[in-house]
Amino acid sequence: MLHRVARFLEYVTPTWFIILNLGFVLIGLIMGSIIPQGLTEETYILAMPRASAWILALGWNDLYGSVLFHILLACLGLQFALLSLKRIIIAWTSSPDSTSSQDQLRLGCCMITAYAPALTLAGLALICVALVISHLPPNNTQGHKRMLSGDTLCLPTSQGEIELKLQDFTIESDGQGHANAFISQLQVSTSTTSEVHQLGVNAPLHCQGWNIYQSGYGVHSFELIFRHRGQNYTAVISTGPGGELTPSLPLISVPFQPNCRYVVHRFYPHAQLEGDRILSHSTLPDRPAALIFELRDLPSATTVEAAKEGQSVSFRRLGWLRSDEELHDSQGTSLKLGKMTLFSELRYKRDSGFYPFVLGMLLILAGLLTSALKKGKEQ
Amino acid sequence: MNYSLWEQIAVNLTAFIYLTSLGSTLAFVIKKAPEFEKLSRFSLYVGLITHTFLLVNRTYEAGHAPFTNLYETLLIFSWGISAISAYLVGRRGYVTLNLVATPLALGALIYATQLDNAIKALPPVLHSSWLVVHVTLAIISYGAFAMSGGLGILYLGAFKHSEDSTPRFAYLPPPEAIAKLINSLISWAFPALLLVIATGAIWAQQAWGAYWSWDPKETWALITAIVYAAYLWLYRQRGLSGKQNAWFAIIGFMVVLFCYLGVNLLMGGLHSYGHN
Repeated sequence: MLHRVARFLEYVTPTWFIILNLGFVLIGLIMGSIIPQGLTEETYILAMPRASAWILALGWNDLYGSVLFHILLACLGLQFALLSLKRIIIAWTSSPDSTSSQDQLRLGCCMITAYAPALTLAGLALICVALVISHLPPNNTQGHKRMLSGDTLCLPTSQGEIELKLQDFTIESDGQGHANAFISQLQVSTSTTSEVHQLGVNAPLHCQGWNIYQSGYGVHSFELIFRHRGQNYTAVISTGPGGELTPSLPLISVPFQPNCRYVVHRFYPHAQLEGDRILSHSTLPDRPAALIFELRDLPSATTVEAAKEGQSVSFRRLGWLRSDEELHDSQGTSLKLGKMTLFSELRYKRDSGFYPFVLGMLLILAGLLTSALKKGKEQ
Repeated sequence: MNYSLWEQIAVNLTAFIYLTSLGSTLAFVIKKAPEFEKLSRFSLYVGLITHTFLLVNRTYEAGHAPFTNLYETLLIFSWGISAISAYLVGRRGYVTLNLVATPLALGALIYATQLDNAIKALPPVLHSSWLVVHVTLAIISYGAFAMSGGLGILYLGAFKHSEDSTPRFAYLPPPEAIAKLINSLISWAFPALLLVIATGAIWAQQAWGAYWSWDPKETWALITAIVYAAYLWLYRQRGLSGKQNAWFAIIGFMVVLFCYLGVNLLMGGLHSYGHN
């Protein structure tokens, strides 16, 4: 019976088919590493005007998430699993009768080493399965959220939901303009408990079937304080994750200067300036600098682009504004940088509680080690 | 003298010692002058000691293992090649293996001298106990793959491949020994590469929330593993001639080189902190 099963497995797992399948996967891997994955359509059109039509039509912009790639992986996994089964049957049927042997230990070693290829193949099958199931629900339930202090994130669980509230976010500087560590202090509340946890890179939080990771941080907004003849006005300017300004530069109007607008042309959370030259900048928000322009006699426009289209505008460069300095415009208004608001980016992912990837790796290594043992004994 | 300048001198000195080792090996092989064998062997060991001292000192100065950027990994990659070579020269007695190891180590050191050698703090994602395990295993496997690739070139270049396989130069190991050495190196480096992938996957789960993110570095590590798995499978199941063996080792090394340098320089991704 076992011999028949082995013959059937031989028939359904021809070597050429596995090689062909592996070849397709290999081509997919190379293509996926050459073509940037997961970008917007516009990015492909702009970056690769000729090839973008093909890339988008063939779905190579999300190759590793495509159904075809996962079918290939699933087929490969199935073939490895069947081959493993075949090897187990071969090892099982060819193992000698232990009672007839003089050397029990040697026989035991032989039996273990006979299963080595089966272990390796089972490991490969498990890894293929792991890669496929990581894209299937509920394992693919994940997301990320940029949180300001006081913001909450609610995640559903089987016993209700858990609420994560960002209490504090701190960044430790390395003294050279880069972050050494960044830590979120989270209050985690369930229906019964409320605890405070610290979340950092390489130190995720595991909570009721969810894994929460510290994935990044950035500048959410910064303040620009205007002062004119004893009057103060604070404008809040939103920025992107790296401190960059939005593509459409907003014009800032101040109540006590009706015909005047200001524009922040550049902003760096950490800038080392030498005169007007930026030597280095990073996202570490401890030495902000903003390049400010002043515009006069613009009654209606709200963005720089609109102002340029509507009428001829004369921009006056006020210069770089640093955290410890003030700038003055033509009418005597002083400008100062106020406080920056940082966001902490958290990534959350459903914890499947099943680790076929690691198990697969362990099986492959166990198989290889056992093969080495066999080779050593043969030598 | 500031540390950066001191280290620059130390790197140049190490490179000079390796160059001496290469020169004396060439004199030994081409001029058939046995008196150069001792110098070749001695300078390789001295070079390795200087190199080790350089790395230990950098670790002490930086306060962490020197694995943070391309400059540091090039230093340790070249050290890995020299260490494997010194081990093989000591154990197998073939000083001519220096013809393979020293040019590779020298190339990596010369490239390193072109990069910024300033000590940088560890990025937050590298604050993990997995760093030493993951990168050390990578250096061992890359070093062994580099040696096997170099031996492949030596095999193809040094033998006439006539029936008697007469070497073009004196004192070279027999072709069968080189072919066997290539296979041994790959057989040891392959499990190390799998461990690199496994430890990287476990670390990625801790830091990025996924065992596998199809990052270019991960993808090319997988491609490298597939190439060497194919080699080992063909070697064991079908058998490979010495020439095929050598070609496979060279192609495999090209893939390793792309995975190590090409991905960092051309593709970026989650491992982009590895590039200066």
